[in-house]
Amino acid sequence: MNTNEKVSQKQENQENIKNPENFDNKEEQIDTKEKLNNFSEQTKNNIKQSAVEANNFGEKILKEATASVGSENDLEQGKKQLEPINNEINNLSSQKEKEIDNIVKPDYFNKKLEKINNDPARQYLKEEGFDGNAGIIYEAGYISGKDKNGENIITKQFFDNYDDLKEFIKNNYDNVDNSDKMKDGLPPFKTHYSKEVYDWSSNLSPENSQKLDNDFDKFAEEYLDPRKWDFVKEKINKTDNRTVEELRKSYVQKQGQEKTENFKDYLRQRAINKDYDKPEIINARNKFLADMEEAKKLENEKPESKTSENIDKKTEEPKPDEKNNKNEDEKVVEKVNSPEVVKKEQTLSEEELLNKKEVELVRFRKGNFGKFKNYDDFKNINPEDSEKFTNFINETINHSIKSLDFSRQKNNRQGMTYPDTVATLMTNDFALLQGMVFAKTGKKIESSQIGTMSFSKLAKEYLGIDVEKDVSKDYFKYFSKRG
Amino acid sequence: MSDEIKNKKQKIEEIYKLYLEELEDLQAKQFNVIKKFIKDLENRKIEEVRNNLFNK
Repeated sequence: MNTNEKVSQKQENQENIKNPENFDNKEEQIDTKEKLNNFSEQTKNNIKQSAVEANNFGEKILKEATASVGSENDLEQGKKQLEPINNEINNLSSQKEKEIDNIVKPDYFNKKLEKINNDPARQYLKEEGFDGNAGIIYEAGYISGKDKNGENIITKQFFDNYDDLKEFIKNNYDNVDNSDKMKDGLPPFKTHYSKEVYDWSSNLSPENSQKLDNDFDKFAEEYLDPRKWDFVKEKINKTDNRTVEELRKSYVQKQGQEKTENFKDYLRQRAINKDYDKPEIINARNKFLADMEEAKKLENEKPESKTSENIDKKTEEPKPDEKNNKNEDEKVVEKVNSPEVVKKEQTLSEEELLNKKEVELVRFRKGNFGKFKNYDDFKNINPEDSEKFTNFINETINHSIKSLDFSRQKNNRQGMTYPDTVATLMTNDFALLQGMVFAKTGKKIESSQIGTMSFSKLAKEYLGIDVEKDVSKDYFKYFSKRG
Repeated sequence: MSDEIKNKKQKIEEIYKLYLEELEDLQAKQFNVIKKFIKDLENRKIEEVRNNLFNK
């Protein structure tokens, strides 16, 4: 018997293909969904296994045959010749597994495919002109246990689409690695792209590359900021409520009694003086102010109800599972109330305080409005940002008045005034002001014109702010009227 | 419900049977590739031996 005859003999004797007749006889009665699922899984396993065996079997015969007549090199060449057919076998098995999945879970692959096709990162690349294989994979870590030293064990989880990633984070919120940073807008996941994407992006023209970067900012703001997710918003809201409650307690403790309006001022003062670096306090304050507005509306509807009562109703008691977060909030409150911080504030000179305030305003502007980069960003500005902007204008004007007052005293020039122009009051904020005017009225003011415009006129006409009534009755004592 | 499950089970079995038939065809192709490769290899070796003999 020559080698070829031996090979044929092997083929006849092979047992890797299962007999369909036996397959039927082995099965128990399939009468429930669960049994059907098990049956489909078992069948898929059989398919997968037989494909592997078919590959191995071919290689085994090849090895035996080349052992008698060939060398290692011959074996490698034989393997290469077998590769296409082995690939065909593997493709066949994958295709059949999918067909079975489609029977048991008819919508699974359709939905999966839809999620992958609608993936925002994929869409973003597509819109930028990339039509290859983006190979987008999201990676999120979650705490799966503790090691012997009590340190968290982080296990990586991978997703081929944004929806599945988001769902996973939602369902594992407290165990997701870096979940505490979500409220600051940091994504608790990484995005991986195929090499093809990197090759493509590195070969773009400078213009297209710039466009890619600019559009990425928009994409990142929309999809990489977890604060956009409803379940994160809900969590932040709860934390804000708790922080407001803690601040209120601290305030009542100091004042001996509670007056809501005073508490509002107290919060505002804290925010102005020392809390711009503490997002927790700023968020809490904004939440409180929003609640105040809501409470006022309720008060108007029901004259007998009191504002403070409405506020109280809105402030939830912490639930038992939120105790850990509460402790964190308490720490923040304790920190900002600490005598060291208060003492430090008191010992600063007036000039230092003014400089500090200047920096705080810049930080506040960057922190809250840095995300608005073009007119489109202002189109759907939310009421919270709008309120922040009004507060910002208010604080800026008051700060300018204080600075001017200080300068008057220092230089002994009591009558000195500044011109009432945008350039005087909002030197670094032309773009922000242009955006807000656009948001409120749809009007686009040219950059070349805005600086010389009367600020008080612009504020009244386009922003609905009467600087004299709404901000400071002394406004025109410091800023000379024009036109 | 049971009819639906029965039908699905039947479909899975059909897919599996069809898969085995197609796999069998592919394996036949696989063996043909191996046979041809071995035949070529044997011929090459015979040729090598023959050449060696003549050269001596």
